[in-house]
Amino acid sequence: MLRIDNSHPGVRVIGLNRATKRNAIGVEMTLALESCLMELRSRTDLSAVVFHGIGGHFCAGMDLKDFFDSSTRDAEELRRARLATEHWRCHLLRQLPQRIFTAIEGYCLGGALPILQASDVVLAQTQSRFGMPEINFGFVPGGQIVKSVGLMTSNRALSHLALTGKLIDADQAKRWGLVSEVVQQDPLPQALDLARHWAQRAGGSQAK
Amino acid sequence: MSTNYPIPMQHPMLDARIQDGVLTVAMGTAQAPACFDVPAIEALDQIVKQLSTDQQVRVLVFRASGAQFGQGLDPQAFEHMFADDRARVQQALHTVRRWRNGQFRQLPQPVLAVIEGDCAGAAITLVEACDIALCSDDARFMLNGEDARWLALEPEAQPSAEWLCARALSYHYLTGRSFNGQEAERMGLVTFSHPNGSLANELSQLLTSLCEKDPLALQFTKETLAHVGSMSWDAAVSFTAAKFAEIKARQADIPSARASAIAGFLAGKNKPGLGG
Repeated sequence: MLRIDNSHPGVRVIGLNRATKRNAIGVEMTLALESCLMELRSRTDLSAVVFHGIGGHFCAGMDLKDFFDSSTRDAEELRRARLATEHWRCHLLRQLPQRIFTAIEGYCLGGALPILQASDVVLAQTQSRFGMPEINFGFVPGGQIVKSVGLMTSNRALSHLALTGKLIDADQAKRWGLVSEVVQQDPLPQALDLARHWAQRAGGSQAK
Repeated sequence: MSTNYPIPMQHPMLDARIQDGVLTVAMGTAQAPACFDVPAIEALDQIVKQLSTDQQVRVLVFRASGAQFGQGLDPQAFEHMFADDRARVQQALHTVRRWRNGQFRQLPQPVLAVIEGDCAGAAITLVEACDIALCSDDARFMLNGEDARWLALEPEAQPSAEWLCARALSYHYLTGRSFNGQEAERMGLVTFSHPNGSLANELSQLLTSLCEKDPLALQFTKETLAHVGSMSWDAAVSFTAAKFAEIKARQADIPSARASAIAGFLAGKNKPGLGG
């Protein structure tokens, strides 16, 4: 569910790896994310984390099939996964001592937005799309997601995203404060460069 | 075909019409921009109160009857009434503050403002109170309008930094300098500014999209928007859990947009809002 790359000194690269589902966060991925971030919290030798998606999309949000009404998962398994989700997106992401660099391609929706909010730098490819599509399914966006987006953008932008469910492009996402920079090509190499540069400058210290 | 919407108190500055679930409150007249006296504020407040329980209204839109969105409060009318009935004037100013401080956001329906022409003083407060605001590029906003003295009596009724960039708010309020629609979008006062020729089309698409949503989900989304910002993360999680349980209970045994959208999505038949 996660492709971890430790080949860059001082940097942990985390790839969301469920390409057939546009990296939607299912039970296994959310448990893996919790475990990965818990370990990172105490890694004093790492100064930077890079998030990206495998297969052309960053993340399509939470997996409807796993987490919503029609879930076929065992109740206890689902309970554990929900706790893990709230743990990593409400707490662990915000407790990491490392700087976070995130590379976005394709969809970045709903449950993926707390990763953006916790990131120090977000690079987005021009074709990427951002949004809170929950309302299109007759759902209410989670308070954790609304709170995350509200910490990045204006009330105007937040209301529009949540009430219309309309996706916005990378340029609009930059105007609304979700993205640091819009790039033409795959943003991962540039995010990696920035993370490596930061790790060299930080030299193992984390001063966040 | 739109029809008249029954409003509790008539006022020559207000016209309410409903069509396909969209209630449009047109302010002012074809010849004159809205310039509110105390009875106009009281009449508009009655409409707002009525909407909290009116399920036939899916979306509320504020716009002008004529070419100008509004000049805010009518200073002369306020002056006259202040001499006779100070308490009623202060109650009207308090009502304006209540709108901006969240009353519109507590309505179950999305509330939109559509701004063309001039928009000044308390009319900007009305814009702030709405969930979504669209304007034309050549709209002209003036924070410090002719009604500044009256808004100053109720400082919290003045435009706030909750919806406007604080630096821009101070500059435009204190200098009295106006700004156009594009600047209003950059400042966060409006959601989008559009070229004059495309505003009607953009509004039409937005209204169609909002009317297609599940009303209960829209109501709960508005409640989430209103409350979670000031909550702790753990409280936001608990709030969401309670809202999910409530929406499922209230949608139980009735055909809901949620059930059909999820079933269609999982069956690969549609991707609502995701380009399919």
